[in-house]
Formats: sequence, C-alpha cells, structure tokens
Amino acid sequence: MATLLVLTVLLPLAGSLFLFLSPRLDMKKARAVALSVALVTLGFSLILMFVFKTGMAAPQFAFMDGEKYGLSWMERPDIRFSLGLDGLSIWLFGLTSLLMITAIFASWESITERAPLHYAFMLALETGLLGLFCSLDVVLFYVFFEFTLIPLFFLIGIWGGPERRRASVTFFLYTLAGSLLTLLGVIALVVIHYQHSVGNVLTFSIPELREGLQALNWEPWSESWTRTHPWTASPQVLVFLLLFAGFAIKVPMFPFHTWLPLAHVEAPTAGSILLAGVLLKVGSYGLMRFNLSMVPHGAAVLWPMLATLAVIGILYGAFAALAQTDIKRLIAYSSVSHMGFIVLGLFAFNSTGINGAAIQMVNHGITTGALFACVGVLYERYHTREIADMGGLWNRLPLLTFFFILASMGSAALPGLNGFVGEFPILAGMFERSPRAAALASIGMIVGAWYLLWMLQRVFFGPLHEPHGHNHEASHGALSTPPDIRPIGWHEIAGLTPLMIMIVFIGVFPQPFFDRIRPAVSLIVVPFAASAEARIDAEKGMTIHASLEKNFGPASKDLVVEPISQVASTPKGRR
Amino acid sequence: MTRFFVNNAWLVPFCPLVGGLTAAAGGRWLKERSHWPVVVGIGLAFLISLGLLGSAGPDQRTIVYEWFQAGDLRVPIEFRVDGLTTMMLSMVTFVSTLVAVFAIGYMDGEEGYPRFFAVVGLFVFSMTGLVLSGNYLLTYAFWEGVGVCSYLLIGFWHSKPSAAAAAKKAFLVNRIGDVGFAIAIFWLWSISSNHDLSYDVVMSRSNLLNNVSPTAATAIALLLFWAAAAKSAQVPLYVWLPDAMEGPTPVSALIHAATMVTAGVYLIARSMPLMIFAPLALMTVAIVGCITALLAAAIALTQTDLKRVLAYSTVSQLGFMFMGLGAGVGNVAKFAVVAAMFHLFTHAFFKALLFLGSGSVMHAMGGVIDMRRFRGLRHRLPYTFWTFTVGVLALSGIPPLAGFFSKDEILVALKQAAHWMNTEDGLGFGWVYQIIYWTAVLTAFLTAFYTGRAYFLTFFGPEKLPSPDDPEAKSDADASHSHPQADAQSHDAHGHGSHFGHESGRVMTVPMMILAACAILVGVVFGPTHLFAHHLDKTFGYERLSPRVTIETSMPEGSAVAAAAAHAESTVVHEPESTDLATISISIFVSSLGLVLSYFLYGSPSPTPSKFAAATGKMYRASLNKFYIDEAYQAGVVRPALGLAVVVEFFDIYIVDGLVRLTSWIPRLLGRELLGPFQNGLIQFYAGVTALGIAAFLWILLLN
Repeated sequence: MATLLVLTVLLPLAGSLFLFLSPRLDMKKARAVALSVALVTLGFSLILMFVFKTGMAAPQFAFMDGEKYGLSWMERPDIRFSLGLDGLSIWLFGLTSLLMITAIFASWESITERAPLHYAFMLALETGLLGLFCSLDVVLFYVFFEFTLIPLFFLIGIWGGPERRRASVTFFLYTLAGSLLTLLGVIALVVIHYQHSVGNVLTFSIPELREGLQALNWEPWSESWTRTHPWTASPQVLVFLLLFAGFAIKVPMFPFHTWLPLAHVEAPTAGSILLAGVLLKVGSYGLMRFNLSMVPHGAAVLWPMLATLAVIGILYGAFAALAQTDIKRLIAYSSVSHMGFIVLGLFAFNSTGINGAAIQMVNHGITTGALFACVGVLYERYHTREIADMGGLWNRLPLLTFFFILASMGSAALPGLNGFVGEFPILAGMFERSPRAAALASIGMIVGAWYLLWMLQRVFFGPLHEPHGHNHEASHGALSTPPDIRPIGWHEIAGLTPLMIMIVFIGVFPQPFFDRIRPAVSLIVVPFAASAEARIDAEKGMTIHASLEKNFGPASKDLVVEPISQVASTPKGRR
Repeated sequence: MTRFFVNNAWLVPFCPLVGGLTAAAGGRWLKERSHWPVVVGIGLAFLISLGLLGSAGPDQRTIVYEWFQAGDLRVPIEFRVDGLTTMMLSMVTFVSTLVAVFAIGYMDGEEGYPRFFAVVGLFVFSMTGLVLSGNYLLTYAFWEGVGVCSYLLIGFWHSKPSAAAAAKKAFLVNRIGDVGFAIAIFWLWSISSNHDLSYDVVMSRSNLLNNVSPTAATAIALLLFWAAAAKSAQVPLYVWLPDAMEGPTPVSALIHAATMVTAGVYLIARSMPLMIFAPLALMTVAIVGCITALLAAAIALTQTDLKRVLAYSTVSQLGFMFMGLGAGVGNVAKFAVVAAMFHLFTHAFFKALLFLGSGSVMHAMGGVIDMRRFRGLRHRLPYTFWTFTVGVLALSGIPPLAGFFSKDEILVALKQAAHWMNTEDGLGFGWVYQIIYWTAVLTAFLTAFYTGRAYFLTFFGPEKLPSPDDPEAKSDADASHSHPQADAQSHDAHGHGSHFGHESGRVMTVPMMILAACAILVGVVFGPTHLFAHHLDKTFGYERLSPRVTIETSMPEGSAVAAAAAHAESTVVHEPESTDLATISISIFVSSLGLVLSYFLYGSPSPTPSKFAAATGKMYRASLNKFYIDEAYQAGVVRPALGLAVVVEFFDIYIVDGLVRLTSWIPRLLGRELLGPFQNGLIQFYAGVTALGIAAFLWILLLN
C-alpha cells in the first residue's frame, strides 16, 4: 500500500511531464490524456480510502524504516521522503483527486489554447497537493507547499481573465510572503525540538515533532524573565504567529483575504475550482497540523484574537458576499465566510469543533468546487458573470438549476446535505468554548443563506432574461434568445454529478468519514483536553489560558527554555 | 405487535420519501402519472401511523442508525412513538393524503407536475420525521427540511417574481428562527448529561433538576419559542406566511395551514416538561400568541384576497394555540397543553378544508382569487359551497363543530392560568392572563366576523364571475404586484380553462367532503370524551405536568418553579375545572354575533361596509396595508443589512486591500526610489564608490 501511495502522488507528475514534453498535442488528445491520468489517480486514491483503517491515529501507508517513517532522503540532517495518510489528511487527499476530475471537465471545451500546457500544469498541481497532504516530513511538506504556487500562478496568469497578470502576481507574492514566515516557524519547531528534547533528537518527521513538542514543556517563561522582558511574547506565541502567517493567508483569514476575490475572478474555472476547493484547505490543514498540534499553548494564549478574527471573517465575508454583483466574486467572499467557520471550529480546541472543522474542509471543497463549476457552465454560455445580466435561467438550463440549488443548499448547511454535518459540530464545539462567539457566528448562517438564495432568485427565478449580444450584436430584443445556448453537456454533467452525490452522501452517511477522522483529532486535543472542571472555570469567566494551565499543571521553572532571542536567531543562523 | 410497529416506525417517513424520489427520478417517464408513487407512499404512511396510534407509549422508542458522531456531538436517528407523536403523525399523514389526492385534480396539466409531487413527498418525509424524531438535533434537521420543501413549493412557479421573492423570504425568516433553535440546542447539549440530546435525557427529571439552572431554562425556553415563532408565524416573524400564498393552493392547505406551520406549536408542546421550569417564558409565549392572534385577525378583516384572509386566519389561530401553551403554568400545565394541541388537531382539518375550498374556487375562477371579482358562487359550486360552509362554522367556533371545542378549551385554560397566577404559588401575574383571556374573546369575535365576511362575499349575493374588463381587475393589478399579476393568472389558469365557472371534479371534491366530515366530527368525538387528552397522557414527561399539591414544596429555586416542576408522585388535590359555563356562553355568543353581523354587512351588496371603511379611515387603511409591518422590516432590517454589505464592500476594497497595496508599495519605494538611483550605470560612479568603500574598510582596520 505504501507503494501505491507513492504511485498515486507521482502519477499526475508523470502525466504532467508527458504533456509538457508534447506541446503539439491537440486539445482533444491532451484532455483525454489528462482525464485518464486523473481518473487512474482517483481510482488509486479510492483504493487507499477503502483500505484505510478506522480507529488508528498513526499515519498509514507509510514506508517504515525501523521506527522511522519513510525512506532516507538526506543522511545529515535526517530529512526523509516519508509519505503517509492519517485521519486529517485522507479525505483532503481524496477531495483533491475528485475535484481534479471536475476541474478537467470544466476545462473540457473552454481551454482551446495551449491545451497540453494547461493540463500539464493542472496535473503538476495535483501532485503538489496530493504530496502536501500526505507528507510526513516538514521539509517535504514545505517543498510541496511552495510547489503548488507555481502551477497555479501559470494557470491564472496564462488562461485567466483580462486582469490575469495582476491577479497571478498578487496571488503569488502575497502567499509567498506568508509562506516564508511559515518556513521560519517550521525551522523553529525543528530547532526547539532538537534543543530541548531528551537526547537532543534532530527530527523532521511531523508525527515525531508533534509528539515531542506536545510533551515538551516549552510554553511558559519563568516569572523573572517575564518581569524583565514584559514586552516579548513567549516562544510558543512567536512560533505560532510565524506559522500562522502563511497559513492564515492561505485560508484566507480576515484581514489577509483580499487576494482571493481577485484571483478567483481572473482564474479560469478549473483554477477557481482547485483554488477554492483544495488550496484554501492547505491553510486550515496547516493550522491543524502545525499550529494546533505543535504549539498548543501559543494557540491558547492567542485564542481571543484568533476567535475574533474567525468570527469577523464569517460575518465580514458574508456581508461582503451580499454586496457582490459578480457571481464568482460572491462565491469567493462566501469562501472567506465559510473558511471562517472552519477556523472557528479549529479554535474551539475540543474534539467536537475540530472534528467538524476537519470534515467541513472536505465539504467546503465539494460545495464550492461545485458552485464554481456551475458558474463556469454559465460563463461558457453567456460570457458574463454579472448577476444583473441574467434571470429566469431555470427555463433554459433546468438541470444546471438543480445542481446549483443543491450545491447552494449544501453550502448553506441544510441538514441532510454535507455542510450541516460540519457546521453544526463546529458551532456546538465553539459554544462550549465561548457561547458568545458561537452565537455571533450563527448570524453568519442567516446571511449565508441570504446571499445564496438571493443570487439564486436573481439568476434562476423570474421570467427568462438572458445576456445577449456578445456575438449577437444584431439581436436586441430583451427576450430574444441567442441560438447557441446549448443545454448542459455530458462532460459538464460528468463533472458535477460526483460532487452532487458526495453532497448528499456526506450529508446522510457522514459517520464513515468521522470514524476515520476522530483518532487523528484525538491526538490534537490532548493538550487542550477540557475536563469538566475546565469547563466550569470557563463559565466562571476564567480565561482559557488559565484553565489550560490548570490542565497542564503549573509551569515548572526548571524546564524554562532559552530566551527568545536565541530561539529566534537560531533559524536565521542556519539559513 | 406494539414493538413491531414501533420498530418499524421509520417506514412512516420512508414511504413518502421513496415516493417523492421516484417521482423526482422517474418524472420524465411518469409525466401525468407522477402522483402515483407519492400518493401511494403517503397513503401507506397513513396506514402505518394508524398502527402506531395504538402502540403509543411514553417510553416507546427505536434507534434506526447512528447518523453521526463528531467529538461529543452524537446524533442517532432515533424515533419516539408516544402520544404526542402519534397524534401529530396520524393528522399529518391523513391531511397529506387528502391534499395530495386533491392536487391530482388541481395541478393537472401544470408544467412541473412531477416536481410538485416529488417535493410534496419530500415534505411529508420531513414532516413525519420531525414529529417522530427522538432528539432535538434530529428535530432540527427535519425542521430545516420542511423549511426547504416549503421554499421549493412556494417558488413552484419559478418564473413568477413574486413567488420567487416569497420563497426566499420564507426561507430567510425561518432561518432567523432556526438560529435561535440551533443556539438552544448548543446550550442544551453543553449542559445535559453525557452531552445527550435525546428528549428523554434532556427532559428527564434529574437533568432538569441538576443541570439546568432556572436562568438557563428561561433562556432556552425563549430561544425555542423564538424558533417556534418563525416556523409557526408569530409576531414578529409571521411576515413570511401571508406571502407564502404565492405557492399552489394545495401547498397552502397542507404546509402553510395544517402541518408545517404547526411544527412550532409541536416543539413547544414537546418541550413542555422543560418549559414549566420557566413560567415567565410561558407567559411570554401567551403574550406573543395573544398579540399575534389579535393583529392577524385585524388584518384579515380587510383583505380582499381570499387566500390571504385564510393565511392571516391561520396566523391568528396559531396565536390561539400559543396562548393555550402559554397558559400552561402551575397546575394548569397539562390541561393547557392538551387544549393547545387539540386546537392544533381540529384546526388542521377545517383550515385544510377551507384552503382546499378556496383552491376549488380559484380553479373555477381561472386563477382569480380576489373576492372583489366574483360573488354569489353558491349555485355554481355547490360542493365547494357546502364544504366551505362547514369549514366556516368550524373556524368560527359554532357548536358542535370541531373549532368550538378546542377554542373553548383554550379560553378555559387561560382563565385557569389567571386564577393560578393569583394563588400564593403563582407569580402574581394573574391580571396579564385576564387581559389575554378577554383579548382572546375579542379575537374569537373578529374571527367569526372576517370568516363570515369572506364566506358571504364569495358565495352569497348576485352571481358575478371574473372578467378581464372588470374595473377591479385593473386596480388589483396596480395594487401590489403589477407585472406578476398577469403572469400569475396565466400560470394558475393554465390548463384550467375548461373548468371555468364549473364545479371541480370528483378527485377534488371528495377530499373536501372527507375533511368536512372530520371538521364536524373530530371535536365532538375526541373532545368531551377525553379521548384526545388520554392519548396525550402517553407522552414522555407529561405525567409531570399533572395537577398536584401546590403547598408541599421543598425545592430551593422558589415556590413557583418547584410547584410546577417536581412532585409528580404527590397526590392530586386540585384539578382545574375543564368546563366553564360562563366561558362557553361567551364563546358561543361572540361567534354567533360575528357571523350574524357579517351576514348583515356582506350577505348582500350594501353600501354599509364601504361607509364604515370610510368612517374609520386611518384604521381601515392600516389594516388593509397590514399595519405596514413589511415596510417596517424593509426599512429596519433589510435596508440596513444591505447598507452594511455595501459598507463592507467599500471597506474591503479601499481599507483592507488598500493596506495590502500600501505594504506592497514599500519594497517598490525602497528599490526604485531609494536604492534605484545608485544603479545608474556610470563606471566612474561605481569606481568612486568602490574606492570609498576600500578606504572606509582600511580605516576601520587601521583604527582597530
């Protein structure tokens, strides 16, 4: 199985190389190659998902080298090529391979220029994302993390809309700036683990780092130090913020989200699907994998700020979406709002919230991917995304209307559809942590339904009103119908149907997903494990910080780590 | 046998679901036969519900499967088969079956015929699931499910902008309520033992006494009522229901009169063991119900659209039910809840009947429902006329029809509550219940009056059929929905042309006749015989609502709560009187007065009503314009929210993104403006700088 995992990750790369090397291939052949590669990849990942064992917290499908995961890559330092899947990553892994199919079908007719190159970039992106989710080594993770930027940069920059240059450069620089800080944070993690673990173990393995750093008491400064340096944050807070910088931009959390609407509007449909569907999850996945797992105390200290940002993001994104006139921008802002929910679930610090967030990542990928694919269908026909230009399209495209309504309802967290089984646990978990934050976030549910239904009302309900004249300047009648509006095609149906099935399936039978997520989440919540006592403390108005400290035991003074200057300067020295 | 039915309770929602899905998937082939799977599915559900009726017990429950468990949030699909559930279940499936049959005739020839039946199937699935569900979260899930079916059915004629707007409004207003429900659930979940949301855990005595503080109980009760107010159209969230009449009339009968809108009442009745911990919340329920009942009745007085009169009447009657529930304080709890549920039960029959009657009128009038455009239809539509008459008498509360018994019980409950509140255990708010009681009597009078008005306007007087050159037709089109009106008529009239001016077919009149028989009988059969009350006794937690000793209290929270909540086992000393001659007489008097008065005013064309309207001037216009509530919402909620959205949009572009652009401008400034000039390409300059650098370097070396 370990071999199959490596194969799954590398297969798209092979397809991508083939397409790079045969730029003269015509569109039909190129897309056929891309589709078959993506289908085989999906098949492989389906096998992995079925074989994946429940009730196991440790990563599966990893090559084992004695006690260690993966194959030796560099001897010194011991950076390893180690891939493996656990409950947090398995579904995102599957989501990536599923959305790739939708993305390829979405480009089926619309990409005519330099098609082989387009599909080559898409497959390269798939390898990057798959690799990222199953990396068990921080260096490998970071390589994949940065690698995903490149194909998407070109996808937006070459096949995007009129302002594609600006959009792709903004997207690239913005996220790169954040990820460099994240790199610092990652190095700091490794160094801190090296300096303070028993026997000075230098490891780059994510599971080992998590275990080691959770056991390590490196959160508090001694009281004397705090007195002399009152302005400096504790190392956990600092490392948390470094890691957070890159991930928060990826998510994107308010106020680091402004690259997203721009990138979405300019990106081709396939780019939008993958960007919203999977790339944003990289941010929340990183938060879960690094920030929560490895710097829990920093998370607890920064909790008020993080929860506030998440709640603001939910409401802000929702209201901004309400004001949009372009469907794609609307969905982009709705992503800001929904990703806010996911982050809120993570920062509930309890298994209910994190379980919800983990599945909601998949749910959001599916529903938003589906919504973008639907918008792509409209755009291909009408060459506009302005809501005001359309109306009553139910009469013209009934099946698309059905898809659109279903995806919107899934996105609005209707019970029985996928969004609900994520959003409800998130809010319940958050309510346990802070009723106020949960109550405020719930308002996002109302506005969330509002912008979606309003958009549906304007685009699909009412008398038929079609945008006219991009190539029909002659026909000026308001209700004259352009002759080339074809009904939804087989490839569009083929791209959307799997997502629709998943929307319903996860909504009705979410337990198989939760069963596999739960063990991995239980490892994260260990440091936060909120006893009944802690909950009572929270009700009394004690801070989380205090109650967490209570759970951790008092800060021991003899295990104080080195001053901040050294911790922060070590990674710099290494570079 | 009992276990057999209970274990297979899941079949009740399942059959309509299968029917609905079959109609949805096979509609392309089934076409005008698409109703078959749905009607059969609902009919089967009805038969099984009858079986369940006999198997009901307070602890009968069954778990179908584990829906999900996320962390500590565990949600099994568990069904509870107790008195309250089975009562609702039989009513829902019975009315649904009749309405579905009626719709075969009514929706005949509509485009989207399969879609209609598919969603009706889904609706019955959700509604039966809602009342069967054994825990709060599952109830919530189906609660939203019925909401989305309602959305799809109100927006059935999707090309009609008013229908689309009404659908969205219904969904959003319900969402506002749902958020309250969700927060109540989070709260209950976080305090209940083992994080269990099952009714029998949440409302078990130990949980209520140990984990739920009086403050929490009041807050949760109010949140639940907030949710109920949205679903059951109470002030201030009732605004969606009148607009929901944009949907096809069978939908109005089924969803917006008999079943879905009563879900809120059901929720409060279900939570009654919890609600009695919060007497103040119960009083709020009664006050809101009272305001709603009066307000809606006042609006119904002047509406000219027959369906809207009925819609406001529904709102008003739901207000009555909440008044009944709100009267459930102290030792009145049990009696009040039975009264409210009994009214829910009888109301379902006669209101569905009235809606189907109005649908039949609409069908015959080519889609016109404005009462100014037709009159005197009693000879043309004899079956509709007679069944409608039964509905009117039942709604007005004329004995021995159904509405009389249930409405009377609510009035008695209010009186008892007023009495209890003034006893030494009460909170001393007896005067509040006194006011509510007399307002309810006034509302009962108004009810009889507006019902009579609609009835006499439609069926009495000289015969008149709608014609396009009717002056009212034009003014009506100008009045509210100028463009959609034409569209609406073309839609509703579609395929009905041949029926114009004639009685509807058998498939439509027979369901009406069955409902009429029920409207006559259910009151007498189940009311005075206490059959209904005894059946509700089999509900979980209701034994704790029974009247009990009022003095013997040892609980610390205060005598009111204690008397209300604990001591189920104590001996019964004071059972509230269930019959009250004074109330009966008043009730009969006001109902007859209302009907008689409306006959004199509207029985034949006379100038009196318009004179009266002119005399009251402002009040008349306010009622006609629904007291400007919609406008107030537009100005107070919708506009500010949209304004906020625009502000956020600008803030995003100019402030947040502005800051980002500012940041990106710094390196550019550094590079281009500060360091750029040094890269000027002049060899001499470079050489000079190099020399300077070496000099500085040497100088430092020498100095050290």
